[in-house]
Amino acid sequence: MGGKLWLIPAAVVFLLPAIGQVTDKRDLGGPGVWSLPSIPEPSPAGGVPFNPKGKQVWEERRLTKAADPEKQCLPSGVPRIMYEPYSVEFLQLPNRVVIVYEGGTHIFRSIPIGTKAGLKHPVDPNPTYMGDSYGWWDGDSLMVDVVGFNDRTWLDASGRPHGEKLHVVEKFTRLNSSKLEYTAMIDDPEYYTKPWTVTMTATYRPNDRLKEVICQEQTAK
Amino acid sequence: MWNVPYIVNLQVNAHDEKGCQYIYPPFKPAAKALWEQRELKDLEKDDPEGFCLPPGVPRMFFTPYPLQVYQMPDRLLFVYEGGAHVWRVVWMDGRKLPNPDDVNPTYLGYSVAHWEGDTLVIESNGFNDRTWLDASGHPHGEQLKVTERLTRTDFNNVKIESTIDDPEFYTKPWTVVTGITWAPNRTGPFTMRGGEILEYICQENNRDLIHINAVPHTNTVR
Repeated sequence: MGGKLWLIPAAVVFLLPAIGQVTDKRDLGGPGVWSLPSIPEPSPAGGVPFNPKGKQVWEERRLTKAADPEKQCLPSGVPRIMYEPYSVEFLQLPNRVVIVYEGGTHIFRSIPIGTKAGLKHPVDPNPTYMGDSYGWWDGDSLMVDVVGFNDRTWLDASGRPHGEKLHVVEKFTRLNSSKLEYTAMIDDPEYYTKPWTVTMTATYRPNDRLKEVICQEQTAK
Repeated sequence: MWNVPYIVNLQVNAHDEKGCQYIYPPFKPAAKALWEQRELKDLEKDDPEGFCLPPGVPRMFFTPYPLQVYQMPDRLLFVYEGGAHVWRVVWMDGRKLPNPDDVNPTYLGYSVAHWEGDTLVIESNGFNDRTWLDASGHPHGEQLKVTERLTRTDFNNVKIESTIDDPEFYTKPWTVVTGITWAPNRTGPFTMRGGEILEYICQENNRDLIHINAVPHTNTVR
């Protein structure tokens, strides 16, 4: 009888991929929500390539304990909104992906989807918290190119700075039914010597729904 | 996108079930006193929308920032340029309204919808009591139930009949008729990119309220 015990781990190994598979990896939805991790200070491999100005601003913010714009209920910005600990949903339409966020002022991003070759942004966009996004599919990964930011958000809770020249390229990859990998390439020559990348993994929470988090509620009377 | 009108006082658009216009909505006495306090004595200074809180339902349709509607098989998604730049989901997968006691009270409530012919009927409950029905301060409580009937009367217009049912504040349901108008690929100072709504963040510029407000309080942005 004991000789058959090996069958159990063999069966588990055999079944595991089946549990984790989704039929279409371009489907970022389902009956549930994605739970985002909290990463107050991302530590990219090789460190953050500050230039002198970037390092100075960052250290000033830490020394003076400058107020995080998010504490004033302003939008988190991109990519920071993807590593604040709230849940998100991806709503996929034929030519558009809408990301709706539970927290970060209950905000949304509406991303037109085209081809990589068709990538375009407004010539002189009005600077915004969430920037101007354009997306396309690269294999099973959703790529989103974002420019047109204002300089009023922080890249993370530790105060890493960015300016209006910030350029972010996001990559969303659904690894399986329960994991979504996210990387964001951050390029801002005003504060960094070269592009750097932050990474996070979101976890699927089936049968959950987004709550209504209204940050302003705590700061209003 | 759709352009949304600015309606300060819903009384102008309110009528009863027979279509007769109201001078006042069917207030209960305490509701009338509360409205008079907010509108006539305090001059609307305590409007929650002034503190960048979400306008609520149906006031999202009276707050003058453009909106878009995305239609999906199982839900509608409204996204709003202003009014706190929030989104509102309306379920269309056949589910019923929850028992309001079973959901966490929220600014935008819980919404389900179905089609009656060409009219979209959105029913909502599960609200908190922290919004005003309009800028003039018509009150509601957590028992509020709203029915919004949306009819696209022609390409450029959607008629919206919003019925407000809140037995805590009103003796019977009352209905306001408003509308939204289509803005095709508009370009101009407020919508620079054709057909796309912009990002308006109320919290960014919420600086003056403390000066016009008689009661000191902590403001969101210094």
